[in-house]
Amino acid sequence: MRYLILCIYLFITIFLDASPFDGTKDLPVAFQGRFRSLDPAARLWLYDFYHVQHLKKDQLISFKTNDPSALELLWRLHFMGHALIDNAPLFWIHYAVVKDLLGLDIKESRFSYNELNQALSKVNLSHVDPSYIDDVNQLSQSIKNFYAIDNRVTQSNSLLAALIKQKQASGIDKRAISDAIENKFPLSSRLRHAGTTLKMLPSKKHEGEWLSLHALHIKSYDPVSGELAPIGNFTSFSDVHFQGIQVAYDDLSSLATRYFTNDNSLNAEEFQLAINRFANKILTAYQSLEGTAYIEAMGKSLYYPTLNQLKAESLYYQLPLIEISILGYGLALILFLIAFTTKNKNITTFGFIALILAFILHTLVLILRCYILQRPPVSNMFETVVYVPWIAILVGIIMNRISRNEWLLIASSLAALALLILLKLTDVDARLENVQAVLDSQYWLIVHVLMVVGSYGIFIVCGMLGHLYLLICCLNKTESSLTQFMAKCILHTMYIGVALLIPGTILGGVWAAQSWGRFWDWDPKESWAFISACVYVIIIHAYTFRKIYDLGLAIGSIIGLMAISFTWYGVNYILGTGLHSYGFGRGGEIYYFGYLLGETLFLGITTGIYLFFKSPKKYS
Amino acid sequence: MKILSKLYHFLGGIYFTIVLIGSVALFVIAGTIVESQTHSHLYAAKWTYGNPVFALLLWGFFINILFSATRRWPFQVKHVPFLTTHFGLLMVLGGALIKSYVGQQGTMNLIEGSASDRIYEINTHAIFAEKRGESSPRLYTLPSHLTHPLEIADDHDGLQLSLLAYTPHSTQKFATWVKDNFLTVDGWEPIPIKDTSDPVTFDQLQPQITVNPGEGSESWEIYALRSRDAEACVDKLSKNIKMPSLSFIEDKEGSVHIHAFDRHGPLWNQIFTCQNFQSLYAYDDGFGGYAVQVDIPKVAVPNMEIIIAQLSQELNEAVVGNALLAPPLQIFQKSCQSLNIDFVKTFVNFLVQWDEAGGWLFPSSVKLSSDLTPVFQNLDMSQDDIAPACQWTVRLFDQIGPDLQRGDDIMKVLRKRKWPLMASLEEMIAQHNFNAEDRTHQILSLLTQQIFSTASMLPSIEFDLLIDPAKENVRLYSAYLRAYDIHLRSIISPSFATASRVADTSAPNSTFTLETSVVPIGTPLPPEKKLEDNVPLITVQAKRGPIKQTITLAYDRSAAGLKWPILNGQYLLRFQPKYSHIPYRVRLRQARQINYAHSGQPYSYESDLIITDQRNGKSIEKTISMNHVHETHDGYRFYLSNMALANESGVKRVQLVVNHDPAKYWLTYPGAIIMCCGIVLLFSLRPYKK
Repeated sequence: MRYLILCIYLFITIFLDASPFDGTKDLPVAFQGRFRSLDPAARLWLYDFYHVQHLKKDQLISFKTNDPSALELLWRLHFMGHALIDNAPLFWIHYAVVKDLLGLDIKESRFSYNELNQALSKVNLSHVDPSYIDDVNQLSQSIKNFYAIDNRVTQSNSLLAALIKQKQASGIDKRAISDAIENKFPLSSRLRHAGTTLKMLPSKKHEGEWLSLHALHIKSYDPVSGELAPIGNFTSFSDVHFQGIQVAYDDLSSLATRYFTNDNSLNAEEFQLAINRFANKILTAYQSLEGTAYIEAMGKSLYYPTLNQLKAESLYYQLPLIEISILGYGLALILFLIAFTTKNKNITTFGFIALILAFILHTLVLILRCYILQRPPVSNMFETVVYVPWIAILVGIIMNRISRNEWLLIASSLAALALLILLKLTDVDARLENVQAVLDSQYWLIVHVLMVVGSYGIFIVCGMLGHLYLLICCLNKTESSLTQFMAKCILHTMYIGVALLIPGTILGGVWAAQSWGRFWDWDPKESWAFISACVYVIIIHAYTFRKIYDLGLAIGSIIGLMAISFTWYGVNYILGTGLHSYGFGRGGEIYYFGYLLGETLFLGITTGIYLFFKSPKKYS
Repeated sequence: MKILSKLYHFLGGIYFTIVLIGSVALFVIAGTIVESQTHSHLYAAKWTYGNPVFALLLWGFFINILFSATRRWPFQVKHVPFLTTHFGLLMVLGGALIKSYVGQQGTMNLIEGSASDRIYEINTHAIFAEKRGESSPRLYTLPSHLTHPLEIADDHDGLQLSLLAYTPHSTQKFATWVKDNFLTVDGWEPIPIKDTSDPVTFDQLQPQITVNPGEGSESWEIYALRSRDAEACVDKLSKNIKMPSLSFIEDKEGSVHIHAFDRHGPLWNQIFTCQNFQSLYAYDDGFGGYAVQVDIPKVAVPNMEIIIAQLSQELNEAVVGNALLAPPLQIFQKSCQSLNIDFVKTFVNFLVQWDEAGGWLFPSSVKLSSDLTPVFQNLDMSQDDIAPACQWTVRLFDQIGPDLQRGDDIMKVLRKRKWPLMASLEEMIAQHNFNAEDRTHQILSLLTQQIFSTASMLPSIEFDLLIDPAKENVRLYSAYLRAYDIHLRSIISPSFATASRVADTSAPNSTFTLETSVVPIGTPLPPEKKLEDNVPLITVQAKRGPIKQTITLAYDRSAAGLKWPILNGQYLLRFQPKYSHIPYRVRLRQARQINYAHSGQPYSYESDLIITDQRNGKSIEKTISMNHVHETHDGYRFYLSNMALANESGVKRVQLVVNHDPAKYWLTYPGAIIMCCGIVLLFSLRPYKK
């Protein structure tokens, strides 16, 4: 694993254009409840305001920078404060209603701090449509967060200096001055409020709490010399490491200030060295912490990420793995279709290779997420939408190896393509985040969720085969050995799916009995798992007892797919009620109903055409 | 027989299976849609999962599976997967049935430190009754669908309860100071509430009665009002009140605002909302009812004797210590010395008499007491430096006095009379920014000072001293004192004010306690769609022997609220969920929420419990958390289901779910495993046989 990451990492760093701050990408930082590497933290930080993880090329001028990376912007704000980009269009607003409400240009999508600050000061919340109050409040909050970026340490140091001068002038002795200052401005509070950016220093006093780099510049009153002096080691790093960091950071901050003010006399090499030295100091110091537990709860603990995990995380955000997988699956699909029309076996092989390559990258996404978060990748909407097509492809490949039929690959790559494109088109939260307390059970996540969500992947392949079956029947106006084969595949996938869905749901009941205190209570998610199971069980029974035939099976697979889609998406986004609230969201209802309508029309039309024009010849 | 055979085959047949599964699926779909529309699981359950038709369908399943299996008799090897699956399914269904009849499931609410062995069944109804003098309470179970009339008779005890009325949803409030239309304070006659229309005019704010709270306090005028805008009402009162007053104002929410005023304005206040109280007193463990109290600071009577004694003391010290006295005091002292009279006593006496007589200057109509007359006769008011000033002051006030008495504004009067130093007076007033209540007083002070500062330029006026020199002298002297701002009020008022303005209710004997009983009031509301939010309200008539009493009780979901006395305090009643005892007593030692670093997102919820087996007294300590339950050897399971702050003190309240499912290990779970195996067998064997 380590070498794999290293190789990919080297590959990327060599080929990508670099900002001098690239050396700080993998430094550990506390950001929104997790310890992650700096580059992802910067991307997410920017995304919160800007809705994209890097600056748009055409807006670089307003941000007064040449580098679009969030990382450099974050460092710039850390050292220079927010005033520099107060007029840059940083804040993204989605809803036109909100823009209108604030008196902003509806055609624009991003607004500057100054614009928004003025607009928000004028808005009267009592007139705001209640459904948008949250959006307005969120906006005010992000304005506040942006404002809080500034370095407060210099200010508080000079305030302290003035206070000390005043006290000294009135003849108070040193010990009393020290006490008075500590009383009024406790050091622990000053450390905690040193800054909101770049929390890279683990506090010695409170385990799990990290402090901003600004804290390194905090000075406190030294009762011996009677002057303000830099404070001693307040981190859980060793004293030697702390001093190293302090010196390197002093160096870095003086050079960085020159860099950001476009000082031409700055020696680029010297600056790069200073950055690298600082990064090295932090990484060396962090080695004593990596992999150790910082919060211990009953039967579980939270651990600081290892350096490799940090590297993997910044890699994960840099690599467009899903996009490349989409291209791979798309290419494979095209090649399979060409191969089918030209009957060229070689093209099939190329298609298969493309599919496998895409599948490897797809797998890498899941592996990286598992490795970084140390849990199975199925605890939010994004992860399930990655996991389900992965299962679909896996099933397709396995069944293709057994039956040597390309249609299985076509069906599964269609399924994967559809889902992954959907994932990119929608705004599903792709971040690597903490898991909700109730889901935090490795064992059950693996057993229940992997099984149930895995069955979705299989049912999607099953549904795709159903679509292909109907299309082919409709085109050929007859059933053939191909359709017969497909019906058999539909049946098999349906069997496997049900064999995962029903036991998975029952095991879910056992988990529910563990954490909610009851086995089954018709919670909407439970109910819809039950309904989907009912649909498939009806189809299987009807087919087994020869009440329906292949055509009915294909139609059933599509109806089943609709039930599954509702269980998966509908319960979370349309019903939005019940205890399975981990992936709840809003939006997309129209498209979903469109999908259901399209599916129904497809069923009606293809079946109608087929039954109406069906040639009398029965298959053997 | 043929029909029976047909029925048998139909019931075990595929069509029946498909119809059953389809109907159940449709039922469940309807249930989820209803639930998402109402956000009420209970509502959905009532119409679908809890519906008898649904239960009938499940029984149909049971029969269908059973018959479909028996139809295959005699069994062959090829039937094994089918039989395994369906046998497992039967076991699961059987387990569910056994649990619903024999098992126990309920919730237990604990706050840190507390213990319990009762588990409450949600959405059930019961009346909890405690009899005075008996340790074990009774529980009268009510049906889950309440209908009235309903009679419950406890033959053993002779208590009869009858349900007179039932409302599915209500809101409960507590009436304290204001009940119906009366202000009720224990020990007072009920005072009718005056409904003030808004905007409030002071005419409506006349005090209803005057109450004397007892020794050491002034009497209160009592206002009992109802107003939509309590604040405006208080504003109005504080501007117009002249006597120490106490106002009880009920606002539109039913909260009662109590304000105490002294002569100078608002002194203290407290609000009693009708949902919760800051403190509650239970008499005789609730059998004697509940009350709220309020401690109102006493408005102390300004004790003149003490003030005068203090003043005398201070003056004595000044005289003994040879301090330099103010010029007016010096001439008074001289007069006293020549007459050989005690200066301090006489001077204080004069101040008191002047204060009692009132007026800016000592009024000519008031007769001086005999001990003062010789002093003033002897007083030398003819000194050149002060005589004209005093004389002109007296003259001026003789002229403007009647106007001021009529209530005219002093500045207007002066302007009308063309006071020559008007400009400088206005300038001084502008600098001082006087408050409204003693503006006239302050302006008069300035005016006097103006006269004194310009007196040297004024001609002397001849007074007819022969008529009554004492009478003229006392007026001149009082003008002289005014120039130095010496008057009983101006000397004592600062200390007097502080004493009464700061309401220090912590000092002993400084407050007066009022008390009133607490009465629950249930108001019916239209029922909510989300059934879980409904608070049913019942009216119950209790009867025992010849005594009858009716009480209205709102549903107490947590069974932690007040129990209400009935039948002369013989019983306490509460309308609450049903509960049962478990053989374990659970004490919550500590509960905690552990968050992710730098975040409010919870990482883990944990509770430390002490679980005592009541049959043998053995205790164990156990920590449970989400995903970590505790199960006793005889199958009682404790789950942590909810955690919240119980109150602002930081004590946590935990909800545990406790269940006891005797069938779980030998029916439900094995059944599920067998069914899963069956499914795998079915699907792995069958397709390849075709």
